[in-house]
Amino acid sequence: MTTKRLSRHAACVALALGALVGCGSDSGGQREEVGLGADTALPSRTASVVVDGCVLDTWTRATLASAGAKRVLRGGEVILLCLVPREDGTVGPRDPSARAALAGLTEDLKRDGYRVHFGVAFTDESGQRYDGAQTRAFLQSPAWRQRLKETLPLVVEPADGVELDLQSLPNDARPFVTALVAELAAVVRPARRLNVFVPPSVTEPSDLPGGEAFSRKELAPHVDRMRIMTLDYSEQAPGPTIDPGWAVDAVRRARGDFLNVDVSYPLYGTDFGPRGRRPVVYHDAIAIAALARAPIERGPTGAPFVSYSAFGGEVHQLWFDDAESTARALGAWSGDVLPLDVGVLFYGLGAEDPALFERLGARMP
Amino acid sequence: MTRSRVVTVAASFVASASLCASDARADFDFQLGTSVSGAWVRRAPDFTSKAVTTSARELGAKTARAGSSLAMIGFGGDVELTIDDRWKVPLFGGNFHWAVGEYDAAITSLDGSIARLRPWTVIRGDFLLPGIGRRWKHRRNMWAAAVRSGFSVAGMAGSVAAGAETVPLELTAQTFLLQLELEGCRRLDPSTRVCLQVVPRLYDHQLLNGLTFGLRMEWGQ
Repeated sequence: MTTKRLSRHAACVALALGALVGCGSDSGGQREEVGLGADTALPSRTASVVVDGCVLDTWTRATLASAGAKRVLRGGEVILLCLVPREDGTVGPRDPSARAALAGLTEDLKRDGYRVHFGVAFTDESGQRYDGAQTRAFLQSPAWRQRLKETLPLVVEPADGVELDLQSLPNDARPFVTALVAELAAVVRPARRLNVFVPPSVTEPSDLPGGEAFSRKELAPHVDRMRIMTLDYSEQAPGPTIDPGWAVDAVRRARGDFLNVDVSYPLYGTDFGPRGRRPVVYHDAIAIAALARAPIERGPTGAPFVSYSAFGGEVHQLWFDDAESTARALGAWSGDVLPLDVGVLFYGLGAEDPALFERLGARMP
Repeated sequence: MTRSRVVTVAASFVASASLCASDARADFDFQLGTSVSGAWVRRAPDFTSKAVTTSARELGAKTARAGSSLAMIGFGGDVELTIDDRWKVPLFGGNFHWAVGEYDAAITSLDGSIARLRPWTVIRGDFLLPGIGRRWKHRRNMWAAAVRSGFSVAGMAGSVAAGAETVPLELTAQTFLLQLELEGCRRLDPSTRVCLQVVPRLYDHQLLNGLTFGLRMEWGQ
């Protein structure tokens, strides 16, 4: 065989090899490296769940009774966000029947192994949240705070703790927020826990409207835990309800002042349309996608979304979370990113993907 | 030690090296090689991203796990020294490889943010440093083995999520390299050989992390 022929053969083999395999390309698929894949354990964290109200329907009660939910929520609390301070500071519900029902539900949940906290939501009797100025005016009044302090113990008797959910406050409400928390701590602790929902600021001073109303350093001696409300990330433009990286920054910022914090994760979704935003539950999202014959896509964080045209040609985009996107975020929050003593607060029980707790529970160590 | 003592010691070393008896047949030759090769990476390394600012946060340089194995193709070249027609001393060289085949995007965490890595965009450059080896000839055939060091730099494209947006990421990974070069060659003419070469990567980000294999042309004795 001549040199020339051998060289030609070698060149042919090299060219054929190159032509055969060419360049790399996208298969169109995805492979989860977060949390080291779908069969790998998620970081073990204490988890709690917020129920927006005093009542559990049969579906949500069944969810809490499920093995998956018990596994995911072990060590955490079920927070019933239903206590309401009235105009004079009296905390409701005051009706004996309502309090009896609440006590019954609490005992029922405790039998399932949960700790139960009652959340104080600053809404009026119709369920509308007070605007920030109104809440500030309440908090500013020592008499109003005194009445709250006097009447709270009676309604929280069955509970293991109290959660304060103050929203939309102006920045100058800071001394009154601190005063309220300090005064309530005197009647709630140490027999029960006192926790507070805190805005997810990522800068100092806060980047959020009203974020300066909460001095985490001043609140720290009076509370057991701060729940960082890393929710509603997308407010103006359509987008996911949470960005996991942003949530990490908010939690790290809070931990600079107080170590016992929870990161929040939404169970609900949001429909963005020309008439504003509307919260939606998982079943709504799936039904809308089916009715509109719109495909369910996934955004960059993994959160599913549906783009559809509603009645009258309104263009909507609906973002929500499911078991996959939630597991992805929980996996992204590995122990080296968020210390394992950071808990998770699931917000909005009843709005979640029905498979959520079973899927998460299967990956809990 | 005084300056004069240092000079004396150095001179004695030179004298002993140059004046001692040595093999009269000893000689050396330079050899040039080029190759076209495939590569298999058992597990893609962890890549480090450059600092990036998104609408959600500022991310410093962070490490992300790509995870999967990779197939690559590329070319390379090097210069080596042969001594006494038996010993080979690979001097300097380099390889350039790029990913081939279809890959799933790797969804991973970049300091808590969701990142999407694109393994099909991986490129890798190897900078090969001196090593040592032995070769055996039988008529027109030759076999050789050598161990050599170097360092390897790989790059990959990706993106990180910030809400509904994505921001491009540039990711790189560097490592010290140690490889075993095994080849079987056939002489084509007095100064040209064609070889099949297999190069297990003894250390490439981790122990025994793949190999390269391919055709190699050598020019030299």
